[in-house]
Amino acid sequence: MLRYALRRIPSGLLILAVASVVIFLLLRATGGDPAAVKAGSDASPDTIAAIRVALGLDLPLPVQYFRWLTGLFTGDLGYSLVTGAPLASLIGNGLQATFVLTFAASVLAVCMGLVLGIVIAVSSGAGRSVLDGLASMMLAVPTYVSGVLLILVLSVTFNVLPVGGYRPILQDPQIAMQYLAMPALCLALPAAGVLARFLATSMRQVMDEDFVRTGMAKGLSQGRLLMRHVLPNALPPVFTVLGIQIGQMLGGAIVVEAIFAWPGIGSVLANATLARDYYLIQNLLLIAVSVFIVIQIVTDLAHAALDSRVRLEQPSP
Amino acid sequence: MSRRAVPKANPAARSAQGAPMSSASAADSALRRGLRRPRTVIGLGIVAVCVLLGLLAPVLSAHSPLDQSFGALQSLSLAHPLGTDELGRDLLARVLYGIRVDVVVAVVAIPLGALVGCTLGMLSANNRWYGTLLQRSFDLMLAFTALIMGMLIAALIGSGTPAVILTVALVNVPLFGRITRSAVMTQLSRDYAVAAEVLGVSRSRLMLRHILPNSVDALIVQAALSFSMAVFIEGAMSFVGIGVRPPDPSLGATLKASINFLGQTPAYSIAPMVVVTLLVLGFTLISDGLNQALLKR
Amino acid sequence: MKKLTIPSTTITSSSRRQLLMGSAGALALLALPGCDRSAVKEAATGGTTTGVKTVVLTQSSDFQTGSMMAQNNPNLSIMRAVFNPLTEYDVKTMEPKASLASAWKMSDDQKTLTLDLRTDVLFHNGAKFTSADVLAAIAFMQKDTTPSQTKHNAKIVTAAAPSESQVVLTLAHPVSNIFDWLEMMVIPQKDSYEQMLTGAAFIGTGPFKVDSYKHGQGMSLSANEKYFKGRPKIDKLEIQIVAEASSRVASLKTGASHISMDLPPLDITGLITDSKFVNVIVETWDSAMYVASNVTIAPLDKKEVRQAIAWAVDRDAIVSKVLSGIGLTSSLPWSKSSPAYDEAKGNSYKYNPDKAKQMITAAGVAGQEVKICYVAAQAGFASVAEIVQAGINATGLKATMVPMQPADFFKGLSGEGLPGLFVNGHGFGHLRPATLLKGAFPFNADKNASRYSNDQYKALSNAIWQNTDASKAKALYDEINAHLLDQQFVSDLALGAHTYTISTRVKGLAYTALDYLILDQADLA
Repeated sequence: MLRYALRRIPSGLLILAVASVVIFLLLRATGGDPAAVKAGSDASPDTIAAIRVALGLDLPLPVQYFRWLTGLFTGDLGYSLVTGAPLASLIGNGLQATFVLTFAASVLAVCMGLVLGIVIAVSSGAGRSVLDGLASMMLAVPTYVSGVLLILVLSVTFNVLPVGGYRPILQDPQIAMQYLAMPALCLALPAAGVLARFLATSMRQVMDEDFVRTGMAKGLSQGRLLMRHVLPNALPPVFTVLGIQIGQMLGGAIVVEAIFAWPGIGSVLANATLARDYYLIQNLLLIAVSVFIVIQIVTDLAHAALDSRVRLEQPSP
Repeated sequence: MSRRAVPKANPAARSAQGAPMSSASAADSALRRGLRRPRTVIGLGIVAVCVLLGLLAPVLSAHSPLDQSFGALQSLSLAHPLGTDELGRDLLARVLYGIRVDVVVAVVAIPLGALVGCTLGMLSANNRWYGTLLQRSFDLMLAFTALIMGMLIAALIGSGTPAVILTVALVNVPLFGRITRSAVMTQLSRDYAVAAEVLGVSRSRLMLRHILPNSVDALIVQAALSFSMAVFIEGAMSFVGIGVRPPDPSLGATLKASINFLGQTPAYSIAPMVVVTLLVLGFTLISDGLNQALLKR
Repeated sequence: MKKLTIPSTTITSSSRRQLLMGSAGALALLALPGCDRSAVKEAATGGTTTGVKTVVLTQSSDFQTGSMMAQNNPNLSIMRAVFNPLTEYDVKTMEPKASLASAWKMSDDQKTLTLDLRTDVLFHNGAKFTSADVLAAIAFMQKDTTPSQTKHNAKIVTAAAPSESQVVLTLAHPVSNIFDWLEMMVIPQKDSYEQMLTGAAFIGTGPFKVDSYKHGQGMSLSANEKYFKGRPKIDKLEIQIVAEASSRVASLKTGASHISMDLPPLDITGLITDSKFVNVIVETWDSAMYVASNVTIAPLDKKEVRQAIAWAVDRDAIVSKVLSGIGLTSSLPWSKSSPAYDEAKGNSYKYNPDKAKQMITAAGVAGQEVKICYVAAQAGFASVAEIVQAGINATGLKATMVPMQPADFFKGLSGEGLPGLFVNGHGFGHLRPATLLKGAFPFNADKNASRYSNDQYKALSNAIWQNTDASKAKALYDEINAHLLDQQFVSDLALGAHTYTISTRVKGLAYTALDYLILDQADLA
């Protein structure tokens, strides 16, 4: 198990290193002058030049790159080129908000996906077609459609939940959850649909197996058979899908955050993109790449833990 | 008592085994069977209707989607079947022309992405060193969800329809690449391929004339899925503000603008909502149906 | 192998029941938090229920802590809430009034200004306000890396502090706009600059002190009990950064916020149809929109062509379509409060497409191409660019739109120049004319975005800056107006205004000459 994990790490680090260089160069290559943006449209060229020096933008590229890297290791992420805010806190605040949202959405997605998946797997006939259709709808409808629909129903028509906004979850959990409910649900729906369908397919495949038949013949109750034997065997491939879905959720959070005015990392990235806030974009993208790699490795490990064949297989040619 | 789940062997491979050079018939029958499934038919129907509406936009709507001369936020009427938006533009025109944008994006970007992806996939299947590198790159690109990639591209080349097209194309490269790679690798180990190599058939001839046609099923399923994603991505990028530039019509941008007026005219949001959902759903159903046909073999 | 499906009928009722109960439980868990308190209801009553008066303000972008000594849109809400300047204009009369300075005297040669400071003022951290803080502020403003539109005055000042409560400013030469500079220079506590630049802390003398600042999300402030003008009636001020205009509008509508700064004009006209909301227009009308030329690029190097373009633009369309009526057409940058304001001259260029076409043909440039650059993301400027394009195309020239990213646009603006016409905005048309001529980059005679270099213009600008003789001023202003109208390297199109859209529960809102929000006397009903 440990050896498998160790095998995956070097390639992960290599990708991270390559990604950092690519990100850095691409952003520098695009032109634009963040010093001018920071100084404001009325600033004289002298002020802009002075600001450019103060920001370190006049240094040769390799020097800027290494400064960035060493900063990452010491925890000094630098300052926003536009607002002057320390990036660590900007990113930290955004991540906090996005993390709460994604966590809530993941929990919802797993619950809904599990329940729906099991129900689909054990139904048949017209019932199954309807439920399958429901799962398809859930994964097909884009978040920006379901979000608007949710607002239309739950805020505008029946004034039950607030239209948008953010309350820190630790400050006032009762109120904060009401602000969290709609965005989390919106984000969770597509993932739940995917998980449900995947689980249903996986379960149906397992239910085909001889051992299930044997179990039935031996007189095991349906419930026990389902929960103790079918489900555990059906779950492993679902984990990989779950990992991918959580990764997708991080991207989908950008839209959901825009709809519900949730000040997460998505809006931070959007503003940084417009203002060419180099340092912020660099750090965000690198964080994103690392997160994805970590999620990938973790889900692969989970898959390996559950399925010994994956662990034992030789690295692919 | 419990055994690990054994994944079913690839049915496509099984039938190709022992069926040396003629591959066309195998692919055809799977596709034909797929096209007969109710799911695929429904999906095709939905998509065809939407696309037709988009193509017939100039006929169906008397107004230009950019014309701001009408009263703002009017309700449904004969002159404006879907009402008008806050700048006085006819909503029916904006929705119909918005469909066109999606069609254009999909038709341009997906073949582009598929071409690059398939080429890379074939290359990676052939060469061990390339192979691992490309595989890892594909994994990374896949993880890098479309919208984040879209933001990066918009940061680099500026927002607008070209950014959307490039994003959709790039998103499709690893998708097609992965499928091609695994399909090709499976095929390469089949008897007929080994026999061909022994006989001295060149690699590239083998790839293009025999292996690729055998792998086409999965690619077609992916294509249908990609169309659905293209609509999705265009809507998301325009929604967030880095997609189609105003005042050009876009389903995502129209939906975004409608949020402001949900209280006054909910109808504003319903039309683009329905169209986007139908398009995405339609393509998903098509790909579902074809996929099921493949698996049944 | 025969496929086995477990028919639904063989699933025992107990396992189905388990499933249903499980899902019901999960849903119940979700509903539980919302049970006794409703976020919607609390937002609607916001503030006065718990006895603590909290005013919530929403704005679209985060503060820019690197430019606290300049006028910068995102900072308008906090500048006067947290800090005070030495003197402050009465917005109606544009006469400087005492603030942190209690009295002042200008020497006869107009080169020495002596200010007496208040002795009863404390900073938010308890430190006493003294002349040392004033000196620190001036030194900070003189630094190369500090942007400010009144820097031209700070740079010619030598400051001395003969005592804790007196400051003597010695100018290299007299200036006509010294109080514009003092208005802009807020006084932070002298040791707090490092923290201010990174947003870690803001220590001022203002009516509100900053309790917490979450970058990108917003700021929480509470009343300064020891404010030298008297404790404000409001207890807490919450500033939320909400990027989407639709969310800011929704927040105002549901009562979750009470003030929204600079909403898009279209949203404002929609909101105020409801009598619960009122739009406060900051009547300095200092948000001007212009189209300017890079005069080194043909055919814009001919002033006749530039004048023709000024005739070709439908300014009324800009006010009605882009500003939703909240604006005034103008051919000059000055608004009513400016001494250089001239109503007749300000209306010089009225929409005249025929004349424009004539002039273009006469200049022999018909059919040539001109580019119009603008920041694509700013919807207002994009619309203005469209109107300008339509006007230019009607003259026989060919106008192509060049939408740009902010970083590229500003690089061109301040650096090598933009490749043709450009649409942007400027302020400072309402203060002393020298502030615009020396501080607003488009008009700066030494270096401006139009790359217009003209000795007469330079001489005039400097003369206006250094002139303190009221009798000579009018003649100088007439001259500069004639020059601007003739050369048209910048063509002003319309004067817009900053706006504070408020719920009628908010009473007593005021603003400074720099559009900063004043909540000293504000109350929440």
